[in-house]
Amino acid sequence: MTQLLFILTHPPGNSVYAQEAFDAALAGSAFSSIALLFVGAGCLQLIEPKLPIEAQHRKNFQRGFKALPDYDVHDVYACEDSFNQFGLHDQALVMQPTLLTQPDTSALLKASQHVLCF
Amino acid sequence: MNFALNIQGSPYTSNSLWSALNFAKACLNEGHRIHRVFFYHDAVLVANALHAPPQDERNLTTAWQTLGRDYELDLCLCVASCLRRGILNDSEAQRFEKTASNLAPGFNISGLGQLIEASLVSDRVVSFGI
Repeated sequence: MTQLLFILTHPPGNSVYAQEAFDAALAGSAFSSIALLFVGAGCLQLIEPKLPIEAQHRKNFQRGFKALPDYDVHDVYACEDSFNQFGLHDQALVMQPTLLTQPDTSALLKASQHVLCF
Repeated sequence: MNFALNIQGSPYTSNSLWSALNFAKACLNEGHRIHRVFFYHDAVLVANALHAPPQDERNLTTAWQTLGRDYELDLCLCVASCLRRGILNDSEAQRFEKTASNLAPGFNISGLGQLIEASLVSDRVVSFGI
């Protein structure tokens, strides 16, 4: 059973929120079993950055997604409806999440002991 | 029931901290406990001792300090969020060779581990977004 489910809702480019949320998730992985769920504009974090990251004045924190298995994080989900909405199926992604329908998402929420929303 | 609060919104710009304050008061009035209030993202700015809102507006920092004191709440700020946004206690100010510190009394600066610990030991964790 997943102890902590982190729901990630912020897009990567226009604020530090997405990066800080990922920091929180990594901190969680050090203490317990965690899962990540990207929803809405949060799914945009999964796109491979196209501009040189220096031009965006931020860290390429998404590189960390590839290292998630090293942190023993294997459950990475994204909302299928959001993927459709943002047309992400044809995009080059940093990593491929497991896509969830709305009923799947409900089941995931029920199966998680605690939910942290960012 | 034992609650943990995860607050993220900026003071005054967002309603997040007021919503969380009202929620915390309602919890405590109903006899529930709050294990920890964790301030993340822009919410750490509430602990800036230099806030000086107009006199006919409520002071958010004072409101949280009062609640924290009355119920002996652990008002905990994320250190990484604080340093990025210029909220420094005396020791951080010294460490980064700054000329002043600005952490309001009643708040303490700690790490993300405090959010995780609070989430794991509480019955419910409630997030107040930006």
